[in-house]
Amino acid sequence: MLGKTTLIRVISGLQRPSSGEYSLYGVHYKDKNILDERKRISAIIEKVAISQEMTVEENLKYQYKIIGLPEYDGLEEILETIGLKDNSKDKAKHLSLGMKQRLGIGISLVGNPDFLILDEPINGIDPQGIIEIRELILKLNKENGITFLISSHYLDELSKIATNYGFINKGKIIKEISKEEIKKESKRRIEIEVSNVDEAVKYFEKMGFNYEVISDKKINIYDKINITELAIALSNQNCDINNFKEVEESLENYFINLIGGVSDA
Amino acid sequence: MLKLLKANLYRLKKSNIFYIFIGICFGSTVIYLLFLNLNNPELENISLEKLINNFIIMIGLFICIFVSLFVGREYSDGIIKNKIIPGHKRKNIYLSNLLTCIIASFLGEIIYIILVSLVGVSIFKLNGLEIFTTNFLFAILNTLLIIIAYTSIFNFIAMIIKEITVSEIISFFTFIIMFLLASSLSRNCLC
Repeated sequence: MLGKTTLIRVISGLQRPSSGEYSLYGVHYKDKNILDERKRISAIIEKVAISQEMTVEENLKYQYKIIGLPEYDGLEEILETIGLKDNSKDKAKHLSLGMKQRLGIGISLVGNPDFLILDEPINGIDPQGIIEIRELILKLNKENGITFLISSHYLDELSKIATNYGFINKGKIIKEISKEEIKKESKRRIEIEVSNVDEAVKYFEKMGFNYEVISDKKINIYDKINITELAIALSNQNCDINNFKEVEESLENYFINLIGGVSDA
Repeated sequence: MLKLLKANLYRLKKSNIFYIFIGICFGSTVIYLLFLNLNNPELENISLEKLINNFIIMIGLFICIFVSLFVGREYSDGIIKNKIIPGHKRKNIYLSNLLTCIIASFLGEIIYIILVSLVGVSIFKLNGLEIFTTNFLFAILNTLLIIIAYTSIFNFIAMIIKEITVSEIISFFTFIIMFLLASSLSRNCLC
């Protein structure tokens, strides 16, 4: 998916669009009032923007001053939300990558934005850190009502939190779709492992199922089936079912299908 | 603009680079005075104005290094983005950085002036010293103007070149060129 960061840089004002136009909260990007609207958004783009030589608390205070807030109201709450209260006196350069990412999110929370843009928030982060970031995003969305725009090529991770998707390929949005719509559109399949593939195939042909033989033991079925009936029918033909699972199409597959194959991605 | 200046001064207060810069200004002044005293114990024919002017070259080099590191850090740490995203104008970001660097450079120069004036006068007993004479005040004004010029040039380089190492090298060579040009001009003027 090419063009994600460019789109985000344009929206957050770091870059001017080479063509096309956009509006933020209904204000055109060339309008002078756009600077006021930008105060309602915050972003972490490419790399977490933190001063390495300052402590966690100082980084947050620095952002308070940049925004022009006279008091450090809400500083403690931010530290608590991002889970760095105990590390508030630690220098940013001594934090782990996941902690730095959380500090970056903390900085972007200064000024109570209602729209937060995150570019590749889990890049290079260990599994524990990924879970913490995911939970933080969900918490901020539910408790603070913050809308997130997240760009990522970790589509499976994205599918755990996103409610609306925009797929970009070669700099253009090729599809915008909600989580519900994607569920409806995406193919579900049943993967079964059987003791006798030939007998199973005979039965599927007879029933007119849409299926695919994956190996000498594994078959994928793309139709809705009655499991009990299937189990009894195959058992009658001396074919045992050794394994059975329902698999939803991954977001990654959905995207690959959308752009027409891996070579185009 | 004022918000950015306040934020920059906060960063300056927390910056190791700034304290190293001030420390170098202090240390080099002490070394310079000691060196001067060793070579010329009587310190005859040396006026305070001359001493103040002599520091211009040294502080130019210190400013060159300080500005490119202090401003360059904004790019390398990415914190400049935290200023643009909430809607600050690029012009204000540039000017606030310039003002911050000028303030820091002035502080470096003030340390030198105070040390030279107090230590130099009381301990080394510089000849012909009358602080607050017109010449002395002119020398200070002249130095401060040169500091503004230095800082403006190095701030410009640091702001347009995002890569901290490249901006450091270019600033350094700019300083060398300026130094050679100034030396050549002053020699021509004296002739």
